Amino acid sequence: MADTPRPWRTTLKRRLAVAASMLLLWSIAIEGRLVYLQVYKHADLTSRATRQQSRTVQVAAKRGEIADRRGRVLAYSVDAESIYAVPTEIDDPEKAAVALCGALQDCAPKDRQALAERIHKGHAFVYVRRQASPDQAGRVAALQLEGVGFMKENRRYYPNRELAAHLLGYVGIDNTGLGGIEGAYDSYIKGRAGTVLIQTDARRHAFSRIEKPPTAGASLELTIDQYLQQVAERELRAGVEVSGSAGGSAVVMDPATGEILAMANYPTFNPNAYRSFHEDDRRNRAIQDLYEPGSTFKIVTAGAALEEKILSPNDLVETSPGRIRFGSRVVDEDNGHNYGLLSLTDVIVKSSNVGAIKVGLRVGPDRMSEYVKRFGFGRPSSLDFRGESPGIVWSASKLTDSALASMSMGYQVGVTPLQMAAAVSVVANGGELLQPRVVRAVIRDGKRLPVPRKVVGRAVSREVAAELREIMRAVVDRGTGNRAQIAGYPIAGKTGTAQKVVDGRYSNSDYNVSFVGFAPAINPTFAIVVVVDSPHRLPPYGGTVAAPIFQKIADAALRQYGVPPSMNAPPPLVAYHHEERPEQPTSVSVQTPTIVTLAGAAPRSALLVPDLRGLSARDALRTLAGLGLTAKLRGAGVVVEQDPAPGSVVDPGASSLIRLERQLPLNLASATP
Amino acid sequence: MARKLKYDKVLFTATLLLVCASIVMVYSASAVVAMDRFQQPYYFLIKQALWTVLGLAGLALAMRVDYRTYRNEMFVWGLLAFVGLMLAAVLFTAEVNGTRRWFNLGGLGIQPSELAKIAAVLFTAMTLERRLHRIDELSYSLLPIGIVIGGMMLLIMLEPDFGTSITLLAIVAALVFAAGLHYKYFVGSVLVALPALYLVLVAAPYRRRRLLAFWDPWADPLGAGFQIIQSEIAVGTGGLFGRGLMAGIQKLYYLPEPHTDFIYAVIGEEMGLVGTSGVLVCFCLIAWRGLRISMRAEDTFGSLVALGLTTMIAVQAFINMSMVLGLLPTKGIPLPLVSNGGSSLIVTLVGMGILLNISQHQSADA
Repeated sequence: MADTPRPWRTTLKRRLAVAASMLLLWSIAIEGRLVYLQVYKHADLTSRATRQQSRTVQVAAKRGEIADRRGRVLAYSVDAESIYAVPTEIDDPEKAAVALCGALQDCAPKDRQALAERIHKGHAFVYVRRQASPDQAGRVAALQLEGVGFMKENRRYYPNRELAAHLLGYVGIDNTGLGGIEGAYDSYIKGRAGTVLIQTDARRHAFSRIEKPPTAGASLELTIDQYLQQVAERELRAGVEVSGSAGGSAVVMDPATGEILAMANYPTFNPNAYRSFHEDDRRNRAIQDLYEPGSTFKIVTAGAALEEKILSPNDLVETSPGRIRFGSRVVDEDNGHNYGLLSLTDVIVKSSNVGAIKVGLRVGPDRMSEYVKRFGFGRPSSLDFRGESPGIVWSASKLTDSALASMSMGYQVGVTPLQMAAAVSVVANGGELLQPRVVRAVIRDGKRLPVPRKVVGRAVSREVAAELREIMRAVVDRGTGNRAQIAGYPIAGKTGTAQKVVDGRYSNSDYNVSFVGFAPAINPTFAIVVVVDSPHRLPPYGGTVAAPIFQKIADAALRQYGVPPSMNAPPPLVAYHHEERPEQPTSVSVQTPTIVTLAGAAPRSALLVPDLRGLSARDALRTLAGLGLTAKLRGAGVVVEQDPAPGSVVDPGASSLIRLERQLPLNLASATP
Repeated sequence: MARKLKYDKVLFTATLLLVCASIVMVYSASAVVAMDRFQQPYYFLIKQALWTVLGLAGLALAMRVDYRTYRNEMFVWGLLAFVGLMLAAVLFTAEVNGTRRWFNLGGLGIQPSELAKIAAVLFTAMTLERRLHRIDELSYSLLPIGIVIGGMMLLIMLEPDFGTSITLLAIVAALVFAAGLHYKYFVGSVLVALPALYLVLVAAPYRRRRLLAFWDPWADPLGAGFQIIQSEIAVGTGGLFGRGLMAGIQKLYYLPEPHTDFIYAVIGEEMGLVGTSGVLVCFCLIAWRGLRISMRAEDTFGSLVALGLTTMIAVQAFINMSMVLGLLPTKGIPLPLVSNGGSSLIVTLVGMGILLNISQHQSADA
């Protein structure tokens, strides 16, 4: 074995050392790079990995329903398909746009161009059409286009179209409530969107899904009564149209609880297509529009004087010579009357401006502004509305005699119809100011959480409230409010007429006319405010324009709620019923179903059939008769079934079939073992 | 005087560790791909295990054959002729993924270019041993090596397999360097090679794109930069301890060849810095022990063969790791001992066997 020459071995050692150090440097570089990528860049690269390996898809939560006080649905959500495109997966945007538009069947060439451009811009995701109709979605799906997908979104639907539109509000395309209850209670009814985390391989095949399901929104039960709402809207609209007015509002409130039973505005809009209506039409006048209440405000003036014991109802006030002067300003009675000596009651009954001013001056600025506050003016009345106006009330220190005089007769104050409804409820319920409420209960996870009655404070004593009530009764019985009378029922009310401020001065042609009141006057069930804006075809007075609207709404409401008449009651209705259980001694021997035809009110336009279930035969018939409907009765007891169903629309004079059955009262039935 | 010694245990252990890691990682990296292609997840695992058994048998055999047997001129030339024939013949096989590198023997791919590496080591070592004393006479010492190895490289380039050619070049360069060729020749060839390399790169637009992607992968993250970016993402997500065995996601088609060329990225994602550093340390150990064996070898032939085999494994490993980490442009070079692939594994293990045999013969004055 020839030994390796020594000098080469030395060379080899040196050269191997060089090679070894090169490898060492190289391995240090590799380790350095490893530390850089796996430690220093770890977070950054991990987030990149997550971004490319997973997709998070939002799953819209189902928006809660909104129902009226009897559970009749006013707003609900349905699933709608939204169509989207992934531009990177579309080779020819023009062709895709043509195909999509062909399937949608409703886009103009301009839309098609816009769609092609949006796809061309190369965002990761573009909507082709949000909340498409099922037909459209089906046709687009049939195209099987590369890069076009579908996702479920919520679409809000209002089955009664315009009914309570301003109150309900509407929902934007992103499932966010915009206005009305939808807006104010958005956080309750919106729910929480769920997410689906999908992990995908490089070929976009999903290999794992982590789902966080959406939480459905809470449902709301409103204080609104769909039937009363319908009546209020119908009568308001008719009144506005007959009087040639610009618009109006009507609020029906339960004076004992503060619950709003109806809130109508005209002009109105269809929340299913809110975008095609002018903003003015969508305004909830009942809470957003300030008006000068005029004479209706004299109730507050009188209330202050009575509560402060400055005057009693029969104390006299001198109103001669029918005008009063503040420096250069002269205030007259309407139509140049000179009423002479008037009792406090008659100041209100005849709506004497001079009388009210004199009363107001005696109350004085401090106490006057105190009572204005006590009646709920000058601040938003309820949290249930978004954008409610607080109103305008001058502070006591600014009330000069002239300003105080204006305020005493309802000028120089700005109020909303809703505030007025709360104020008149003070009189109706015996002196308490209640917070107006429109949400009766929140229903979440099957649990019903009622919203309690909230007393803001006592405005006047029970006795003063009774005195004011009698004054307001007199207004309807023999004063300016006589057109609000309803046969059989005592009604309390007050008219109001105020010149509108147009271009900074009081107009001689535009008036806000109003009527506030409650029915029946004793144990009132309804407090109602009607405000009409600028009537031009009828004499612009609260008594001529607003009082008849009040009268019609109150009349229907009393009948619907089965409130028995207490004055000059008509003779009791007698009807014979077919008795299905002859062994009962109370049966009457009439074997055929009785056809009872009642003479009702004059036929009007199409009618909504009220819910009669649970009513006695007498109440049911009276309710129907009030609407001009007739009925066939079958059985005896309380109404258990009716045809047509509640909420159906029928022509005036139509006949209903009602089935009655004797039922034990619920509390008795449950007590039986 | 020469002593008869025990084989190098460090080298043996490092090799065994890598082979064991290989079986586990090949399974983890390939299970989904195998399920997709062959409807069973163990396809690559079974093959790799089979090759490992064969390879270890080859290692045991080579360990017991005295390396001086390969010094026989007839043997080396015979091996060269066989390899040359195979390399020529493989060019006439059916194309697989745009290349002709494999003979298909009953489902097993045999890659003659792997055998060429061993042949190149033995031939160069034999030739240099005889012409060492006149190493700086290029036509005497280097010309025959240049002709033979150049011919092999040409055949391999025709497959095409650029990576293996580079490996052959690195082996020969290391041996010639160790043989004591004057430094000026190395400097000179680099000066000649650089402009040539530049011309080659600029000439073919696809190569230029690749090179640009290497410099700035994010310029075209879904195109040319895709492989590098996905590889770095895989390694980076691993962090210190990794996502855990089998838990990697990047192998789900984000990485181009998760069980072969990019297995180091899968190790990075699933085993973290601990795993990647461990593999690096194993290769450093192999390189260190290999160079040590070369330095202490009984004779020139043993030294040169040891160095050639060490270079073969170390250069491939370091190039592969650098490529996965974005330090070098992507080239099709597997991670020896770890990547899935039978020919490479067997040849490398046989090479380790020869190395272990050389380790048993040491020069007294080393």
